[in-house]
Amino acid sequence: MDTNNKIQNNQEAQELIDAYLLEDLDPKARADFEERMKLFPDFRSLVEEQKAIIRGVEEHTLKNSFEDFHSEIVEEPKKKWQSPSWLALAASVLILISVSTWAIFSSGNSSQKVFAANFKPDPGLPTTMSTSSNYDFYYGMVNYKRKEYSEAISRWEAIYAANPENDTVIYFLGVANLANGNARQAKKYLQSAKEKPESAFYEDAQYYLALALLKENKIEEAKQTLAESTSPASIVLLKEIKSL
Amino acid sequence: MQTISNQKIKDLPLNRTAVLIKQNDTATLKELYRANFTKVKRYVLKNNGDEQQAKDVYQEAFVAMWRNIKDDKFSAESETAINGYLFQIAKYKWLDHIRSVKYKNTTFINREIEYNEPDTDENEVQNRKIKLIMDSIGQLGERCQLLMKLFYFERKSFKEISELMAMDEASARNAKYRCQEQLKKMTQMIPNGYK
Repeated sequence: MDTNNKIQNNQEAQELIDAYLLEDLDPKARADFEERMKLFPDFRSLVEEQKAIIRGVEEHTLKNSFEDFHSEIVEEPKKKWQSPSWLALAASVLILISVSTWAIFSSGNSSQKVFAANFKPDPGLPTTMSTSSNYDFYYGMVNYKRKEYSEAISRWEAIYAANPENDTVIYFLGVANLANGNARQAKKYLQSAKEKPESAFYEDAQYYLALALLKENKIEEAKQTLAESTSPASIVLLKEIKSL
Repeated sequence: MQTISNQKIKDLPLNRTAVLIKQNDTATLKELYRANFTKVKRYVLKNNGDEQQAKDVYQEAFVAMWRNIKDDKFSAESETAINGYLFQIAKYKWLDHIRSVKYKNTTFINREIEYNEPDTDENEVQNRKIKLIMDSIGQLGERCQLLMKLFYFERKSFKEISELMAMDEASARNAKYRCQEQLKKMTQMIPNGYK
């Protein structure tokens, strides 16, 4: 970095100021930086301005997170799971469930096995945002790709409420719910996605709907869903279901 | 992202929580938010408010708490638990609200804690600038908004950002620079601080 007295407002300066404000400088560089601020008021005001930008971005983001934070309060049931006996009981129930689940599903072919073998969440859309004007949708996509499905769902549900006909939102809400273990909710969205044969997601929606039905052990319905599918993945899946 | 269980957050010393808040750790902020709302709601409902008012006053208080921790105005060595601090702010904000409705000209209230720093000229200019920036962010393109958010709020590295946004690292750096310059231009102020 040019340490002479010329104050440059360029990318390099911006990154250096970021490093200072986000506390990424080592002590020596930090001391130099502070010295420079003392010597050059113009540099100091550049730092102040960048500080304001950081704070503005942070506060704006915090305020925008409140709806998401708040939504978790409403759903939370009032339960006390603190006492050890409750925990012990809960643990033993959990063990019992997992043992019996294992016992049921490890024997023979089952719809759950086919589900597990075939379900991979849709890789999602690129988050370059050049094609759409919907910021929240793409931020949800970032969550989705990080496997933060609940967050993606809550973002997309807000969009869905305002645009119940948007096939992209409907489809991804379906897949995200399925990835999040909520087959029932997934089914609801994917069924409505399946009613849009003109959609680019039509074939994929059928495939995931069949998987959601499979997860709920509705083998016949899953077969029907795939009956008219032409995509290779759906055909393979249908074959596996038929062998159940 | 760091995930902290409810129990763990209770056991954290205050300064550790303060550090996480300063870094905008989402799990910490969310848990703090979740843990304190009910108490504030109960207080507001008991004092002639409704649920929406409780939510508004709580969110205002939450921002004030966050600001004060960021600015080291709330001392981390203090014995007061952060939850208590947040509740106090919300409570006083609600009392202020009631008073301002009842007696429009009553301004001074003897508070046990100050939640708003009295404005000196210097930080008044800075606060106005911050507000201007917040008002302008929405006018940036979505790509810029996301970049700024990932970099400054979530404190992601350019490498992580480049992965999330499907671009190479150098492009992410350039894009962030350009977005920030754009935001700066939008919020350029004349010397007295007014746009």
